[in-house]
Amino acid sequence: MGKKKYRTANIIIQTILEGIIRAERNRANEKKGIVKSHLIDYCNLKTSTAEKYLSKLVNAGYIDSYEESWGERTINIYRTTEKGRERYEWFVKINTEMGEEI
Amino acid sequence: MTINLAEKQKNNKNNLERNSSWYLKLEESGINYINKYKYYLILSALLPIFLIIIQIINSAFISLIEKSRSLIGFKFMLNFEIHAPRFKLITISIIGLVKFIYLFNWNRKLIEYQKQYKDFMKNNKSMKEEAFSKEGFLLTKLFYDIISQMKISKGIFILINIFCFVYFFWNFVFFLGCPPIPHPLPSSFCIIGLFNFISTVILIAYLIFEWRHFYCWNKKLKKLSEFEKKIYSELFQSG
Repeated sequence: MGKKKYRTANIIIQTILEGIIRAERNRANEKKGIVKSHLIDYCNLKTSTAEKYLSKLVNAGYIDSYEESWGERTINIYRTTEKGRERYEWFVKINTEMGEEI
Repeated sequence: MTINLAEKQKNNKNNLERNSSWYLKLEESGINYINKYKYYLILSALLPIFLIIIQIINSAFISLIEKSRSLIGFKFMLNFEIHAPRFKLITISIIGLVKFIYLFNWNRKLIEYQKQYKDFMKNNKSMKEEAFSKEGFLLTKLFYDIISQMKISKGIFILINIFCFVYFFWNFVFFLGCPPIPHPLPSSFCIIGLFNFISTVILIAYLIFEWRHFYCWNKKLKKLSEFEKKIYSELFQSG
């Protein structure tokens, strides 16, 4: 039961991190990230789930967010921190190590 | 002012290159891993095909000697000897079918992911903003797909082990232990016997390969579980 809980949470966490990193890979400006609504669609998450995890990720220092005005609206933009990128890198490395055994 | 702008542009370019190369390296290692896993799946799907061919030959051979029982007058055959190949044939066919369905479904996802990756490499600079307004094919999802498939593969592998042992036992009793055909043995019996002996050797090699693979897999899975626990505690148990 415990293991399943960790796994379910991690699928969402790594999906969010990868979504942001993928959006960032072609952004020159350090300030740029990904708009919250785009991230939710791209990662195919429920809004309530995504919001819960996004706030947890911000609190843990994996990502940070800032607001930007977009016409009359204000949008939330997310970007990864060094810690977030490092955790995602660990995740990919652990997985690809498995490939070396195949 | 002009110098500042030029410097800013240069910094932006450096950031772009750093972000792209860092992620591309990760993505490439991910793609390599997924391709290796694809070969593993193909190999896993080939084995049941190989076993089915052996069982068809064995079944055909047994049917033939069953029909000519009175002609060659061989001794009483146990039900196990007659029905074991058929029973194995049905079971292995089902196992093979399950594996094939998994391979097919997963391969579809992989093709989609590789298409997206190639598009990115072709454009090389940017993924348009619109690309992020629909669901993306992410490495994370493919990795966890592999993990869940390996769980099922483990179950299937246990079944394969059981049927391999039944096959080894049948092979020993039928061809080596006490052949149901009187001496001198017909040449067809020797050929089929030799064929089954070769397939036994191949199967043993396959089982060793798979046992080693699952042993390494379990070790790595343990590492992943520890990582997941750490991430979970950093997010949910800190403060």
